[in-house]
Parts: sequence; C-alpha cells; structure tokens
Amino acid sequence: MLDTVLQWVMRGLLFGSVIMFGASGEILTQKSGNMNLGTPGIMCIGGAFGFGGVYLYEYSMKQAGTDPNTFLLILIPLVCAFAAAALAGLLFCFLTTTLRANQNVTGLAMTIFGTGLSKFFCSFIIPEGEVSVKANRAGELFNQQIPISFGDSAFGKIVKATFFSYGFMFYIAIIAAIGLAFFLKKTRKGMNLRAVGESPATADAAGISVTRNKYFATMIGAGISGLGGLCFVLDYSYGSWSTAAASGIEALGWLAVALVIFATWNPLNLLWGSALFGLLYWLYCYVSVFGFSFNSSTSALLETVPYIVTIVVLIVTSIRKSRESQPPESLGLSYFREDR
Amino acid sequence: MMDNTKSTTGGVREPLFHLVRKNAVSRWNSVYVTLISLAVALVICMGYVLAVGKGEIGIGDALKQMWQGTFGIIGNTKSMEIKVWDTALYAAKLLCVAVALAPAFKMHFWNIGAEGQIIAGGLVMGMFMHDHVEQMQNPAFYILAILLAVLAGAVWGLIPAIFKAVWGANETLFTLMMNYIAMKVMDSYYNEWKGGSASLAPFDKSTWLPVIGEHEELLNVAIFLILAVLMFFYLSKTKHGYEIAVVGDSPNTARYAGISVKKVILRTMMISGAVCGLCGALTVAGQTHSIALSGGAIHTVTGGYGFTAIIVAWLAGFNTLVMIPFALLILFLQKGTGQLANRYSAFATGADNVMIGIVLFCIIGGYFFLNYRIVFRKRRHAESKGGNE
Repeated sequence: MLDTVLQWVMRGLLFGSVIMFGASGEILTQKSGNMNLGTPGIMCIGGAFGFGGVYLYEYSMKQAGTDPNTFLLILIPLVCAFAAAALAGLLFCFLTTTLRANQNVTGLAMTIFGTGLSKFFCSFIIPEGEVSVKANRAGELFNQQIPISFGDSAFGKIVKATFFSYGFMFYIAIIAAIGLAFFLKKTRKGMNLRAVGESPATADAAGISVTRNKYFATMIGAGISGLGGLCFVLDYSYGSWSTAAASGIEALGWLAVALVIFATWNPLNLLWGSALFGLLYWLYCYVSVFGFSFNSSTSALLETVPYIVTIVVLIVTSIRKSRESQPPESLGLSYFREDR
Repeated sequence: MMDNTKSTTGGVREPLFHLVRKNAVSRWNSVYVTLISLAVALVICMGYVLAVGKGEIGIGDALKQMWQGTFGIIGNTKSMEIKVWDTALYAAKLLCVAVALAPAFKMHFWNIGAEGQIIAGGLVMGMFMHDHVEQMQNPAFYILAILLAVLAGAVWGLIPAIFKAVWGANETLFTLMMNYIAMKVMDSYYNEWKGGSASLAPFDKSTWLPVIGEHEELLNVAIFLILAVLMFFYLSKTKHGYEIAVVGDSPNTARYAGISVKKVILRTMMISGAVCGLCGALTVAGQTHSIALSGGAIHTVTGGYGFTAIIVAWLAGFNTLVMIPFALLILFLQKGTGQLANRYSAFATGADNVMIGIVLFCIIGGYFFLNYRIVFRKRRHAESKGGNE
C-alpha cells in the first residue's frame, strides 16, 4: 500500500511541477496587469519547439554518427522552448499593450493559434504512419533522478519518493516559484512591476515605464510557462511527442490558469497548490488504495475537484476582500495615458 | 490632448509620433479596416501555404481548394448541396453561440463559459433522449425537455453571475472553471452510458429532432438565424437592451439612472446561458444525436465553439447580424484547410487553427486603427494651430 501511495505522490508532484511552471509565468504576467489567457497555447508552443529542437539535434547527430553532447541535449530544448514561448508572449504583448487590443480575445486567439501551431509543427517531425516520436536521449536526461538512497525503511522511501525521485525540471520549477516570489516582493523592479499591474496611471506618473514593464513581464512570463510545456513532453511523457500531447498540454494550461487564482497571485502558494492539484488530478488512478472502488464515470467526476476548489477559493477571496489575496487591480485592462 | 503640446516645448524632444484616441468610429471606417486586415491576413496565410507546400501548391489552387471545401465544387449541385448545408449548420451554430454571448459582452461581463453552458443544455437534452425514449414521443414532453435543457444552460450561466453581482467575483475566471466542471460531468455520463463498449451509440432515432423539409440541418439553421435577428432587436430596440448598454458603459451611471445593476447582470447572464443551452440541446437532438467525451475529436457537442464564438462576437462589435460574415469566415478557414489536408497531408493537423490564429491576430491588431490615430510630429503642430478636431 505504501508503494502505491508513493507512486501516486510521485506522479502527482511531477504533474504539479508542469502546471507550476505555467502558473509561475502567468502570475508574473498578471502582476503586470496583462491577463494572458493564451497560456495554454504558449505552453504548447514551448513544448513543441523545445521538443522539436532537441529531436532534430538528436536526429542530426545520429545521422552524422556522433554521440550527442549531454550539455547541448539539456540546453537546446530549454533555450528553444523559452525563446519560442517568449516570442508568443511578445506577440500577445504587442497586440494588447501597444495596439491595446482586448486581452481576453487576444489570449483566446493565442490559445487557438498556439495549439494549432504545435500540432502542425510536430506533424512535420512525426514520420508518416506513426503516431508519436521520441527523443530518447533527452527523455532519459530529463528523467535522470538524483542518485541518492535513504534505505528501505518506510521513512527513507517516503523521503526518496517525495523529494528525490524527479528530473531536474522539478527543482527548477520550485526555484522559479521561490525566485519569483522574492523578485515580486523584495526587489525594486518587482515592486515597480506590481505597481504597473495595480494602477498603471499612478506608476506612469511616478516615472515607471508601463510599456517596458508589461513587455518584460509578459515575455519572461510566457517563457517560463513555455518551460512547463517542455517539462510535460520531456519529463512527464518521457520524451515522446504526439499530436495528442498538444491537447494534453492545453488542458494542463487551463489548470495552470486556475492554479493562479487558487494561489491568490502569490508564487509561494504554488508550491503546495500545485502539489494539491497534481494529487487531486491523479487521485482517480490510485483511489482504490483507500478501499474505494471507482469506475470510469465516477473518476471523471473526481477530476472536477480541482476546478471546484478553485471556484471556492475565488468566491471566498471575493467575499473576504482581504487585500493580500485580490487580483491585480487593473488586470485585463489596457492602459492609455490620455484616457481619463 | 492640447496640454501635452505645451509641456514638450520646454527642451524635451517631442516623440516622433503620438497616439490619439478617436471619439467616434464610423461604420464604413470599420469595414475598411476589417477588409484591409483581412487582406494582410490573406497575404500571410498564403505565404504560410506556399511555405508548407514547398512550391507544390499555387495560391490560386489553394484558394480554389478552400472554396470547394467550404461551398462545394462550383457547378456540381450534389457536392455544393452537401457542403453548403454542412457549412451552414456549423456557421449557424457558431453564430448562435456568439449571439448568446453578445448581451453579456455588451454588459462588459466576460462570459467565457459558453462551452460549459452549451454542454449543460446538451447534457440535459441527452439525459431525456437516453432515459425517456417513450415519453419523448409526446410533442409536449419533447418541448418540455428542450425547455429544461435551456434552463440548465441558464442556471450554468447564472451561478457565476450571482457571485459577480453580489460579491464582485471575477467572472472571466469563474466561467472558465464552470466549463471544465461541465465537461467532466458530461464525461462521467458518457462513460456511464457507454458501459463496456468502445464508444457510445447514438440515442434512439425516435428521440431525434424532427426533420423539416429535405435537410436535417434546416431546422437548426433556421432557429439559430431567427435567434440572431431576435437578439439584434432585443439589444438595439428594447429597454432591456438599453439597460445592458448603460451598465456596460458605466455601472455608476446606471445606478444613478435608477437601473438595478444586479438585476441587469443576473437577467442578462440568464439569457446568455439560456441561448447557449438551447444551442446545446438542438445540437444533441438534431446534429450529433449523442454526447461525446470533452477531449474527443469526433461528434463533440461544442466543437470548441464556446471559445471561438467569443472572438466572433468581439470582432463583430457585439452586433449579431455582423457576426454572420465572421462566422462564415471562420468556417471557410476551418473547412477550407480540411480540404487542403485531403490533397496535402502537411495540413492535416493544426493547420486550420494556425490559419484562424493568423487571421484573428491581423483583425485584432487592425482594430487599433479604428480607435486610435497616429499623429506624427509635424502634423501635430499644424493641427494644434487648427484648433480642436
């Protein structure tokens, strides 16, 4: 029984790290006042291009008969995913900040475009007649666990499963969330950014560039979200890509948007929030351990739990109106200096 | 606007250009801007088609293929009949959802929960078709079933509206979450109904929506079009429509004018959800004859239109009649790319959404020129002499 529970924990926390990337990026974006509903599409773009980059690298090395460089196997997907996603963020920000388009509409268009692009891009890579391709070496590297053991005692197993049975992306996700919290709360740049998201007119009057901050936050935020897509492909799916993977990432992207609300825009809450979402998401698979028997129809109902919990959080925060847990004041609004 | 010119004289270099918000948007202006944006989008899309086709596809051929995919082969009546009716059905459905969203958006209530509201209606209709085959033979009962499905959609839209009206909960995120709850509930029913078999068989044929005329699509298309016309008058000619516009522009003005903002929000979202629910009910009863897994690719109840319609509604400026050409445009891109995929397999997955994305970005970006004017340095001096605009 312990082994099954630990498997559930491992699966859930890994899942959590994927949406933690997405949510971290989205928090950074939303703190600047940009509500980027394109996050699912951007995560797809990150996953597809990161995978595409490393797959082509592996492929070309195989053709040349040389062994791929370990360092490049890690660097190429990270850079490709981040850059592609940041470019998508740039497009979003250009439309909403410079051209002052409606953010909801632009975001949804970005989701349509991003999922389409990722499916399209990778259908080039998938050979005809096959459903999926695999980047073997990169998949192995991204799944490489820290070789550390804590013995066979129950406690040792728990420690190992909870903290040391993941690839390096898991730890990057945690560091990114903590770093983001530090950046937003403790640095001047972060505070400027929050000021832009709360009241762009005030920030503008204080000499903070609204445009520059929004571009910075949206692009970096999109890049971080894109890493979530990469984490999904290379770590969570063991390095294999199929067109179904894009749909999978899209569903996770919406969950990441939900997680932002659940975390009440505080990156530190992502640490346990993402774990909770991940565990809830995988609950249906392991619920039999607790003596319940579930069929496929009730397990679908179990999957609603993360969304219901998010709604409850949304309701509670809007009723309590506590200052710490509110969305940024100008979230979703574009700023034009000459407006009254 | 004039004040800024003074501040720039004091040694600070005036920027090269400067944005001015336009006060009013003329109708023709918006037609021009949309057409120019579409032309730009067309150029980009064709560049994309050429790049993907590696020179094997000509632009004329691609456009011809896309046209045939949407409206059939010109001159071939059989092909045209099939394609045109199919396109009409999907376009009318997309239109219906956009029409449902129009009152909510006009009120500045960002209802992105159409997906869930459609499913709520479709699922309730499905429940009747699955469990009450005998009673459904009675027309009165059938109408009752449709009404209950409409009510389900209305309730699904009303829940976020209550929390928005009373406590100001963010409606964008709330309605988004409601989508996923509806999807998972439908998945649950799907799994239960299909039992051990691989997929769910269609509901009993006697419970399907009656066919009027020769085409099964006719009834749905007609109802959806009538809804668009009714909604146009509701929004532009009735007191309710006026109240919606006032609340959308400024809730404070509305309050001052004695309009109960809460009441308007609740009433409007109920209408919005109800139309979505009707769309779901008619889709299940008259088109798919079944429900489907939310993540599935075939026979989906919504087809993702709950999201696409948001963009259609916004592009049309919440004018339900202008939505018709935009819905057709989306269908042209979807079906057209599907046709291209028959010939060139590179277009098989995702390419339709890439094309739709390109077109949407161009139009969304183009709308900037509707609301703003770029004034360059020299022109502005001349203008400030000329007095106010």
